[in-house]
Amino acid sequence: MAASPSTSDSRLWQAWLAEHGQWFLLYARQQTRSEADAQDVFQESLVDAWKRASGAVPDKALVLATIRRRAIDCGRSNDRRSRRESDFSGGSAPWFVTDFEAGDTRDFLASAVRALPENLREVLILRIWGDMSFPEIAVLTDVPVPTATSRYRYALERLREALTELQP
Amino acid sequence: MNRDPELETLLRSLRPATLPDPLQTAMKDPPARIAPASPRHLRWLALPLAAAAVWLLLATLRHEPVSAPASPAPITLRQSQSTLLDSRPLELVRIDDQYWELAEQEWLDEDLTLCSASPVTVKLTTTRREIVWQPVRFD
Repeated sequence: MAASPSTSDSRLWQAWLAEHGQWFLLYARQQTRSEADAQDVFQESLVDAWKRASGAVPDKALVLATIRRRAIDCGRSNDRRSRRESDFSGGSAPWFVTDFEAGDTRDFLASAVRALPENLREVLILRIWGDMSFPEIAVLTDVPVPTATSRYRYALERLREALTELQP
Repeated sequence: MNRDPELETLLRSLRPATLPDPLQTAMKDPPARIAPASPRHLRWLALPLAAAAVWLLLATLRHEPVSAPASPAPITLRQSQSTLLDSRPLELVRIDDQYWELAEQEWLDEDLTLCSASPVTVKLTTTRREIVWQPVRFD
């Protein structure tokens, strides 16, 4: 049985989306292989989590787990493959806000984050932008805590190496 | 773990991109919540349930009971047995040419009950002491 959204619920939704929407989308983007899939997974996951959270804001870990599960399902789906491939040919949306005043370093770093292996990038995103603890990340990604911390360390090392190469 | 604070600060300064306009438009309104079953919803169930209960009660009362074959009355067997365990003479008294002995006796009372309606056998065992007068015979 579905209840029609009230004004307070609408405000809560908007506030929740404004606070967490960007980085949920970032996580969805890193989990999927095309912008179209990322937006689908993002929208479906947030709607699903919102519906199931009875009158409250959904738990962050629940939303992330939903995004992750839906992204995996999406990746397995054959009918999305053609769409994904066509989307790749047309390029994809930027993951981070472009800041022209900040110079090349940030743009380069944004590209370097995107170029990281998926398992390292996932832990990095959850840690830096999701502000999650390593035990939380370990539960979400279904790996031991030491593995999560190692992946984070490797991700930072790779980014540091990339930045060193950039600097003369 | 904070191995590279400078790099972490730099990473945090990267802000995730905002939601594309079409996505923002699509997600402008919150989805309808899945409402849990509330007492208000259960109230609608109360009347049909009450009616069904009354109907069931009336149907039971109007229904003539079928005379079931009379089951045989259960048979109860009870067996009691007392055994003298010990007799200790306390005093010998002569009354009108008859000697009487005052004695303290210890008895074991066993009470066994069996019922045909139950497979359980109840056995009660008690020990009692009593003071008795008994005539003394010199055979």
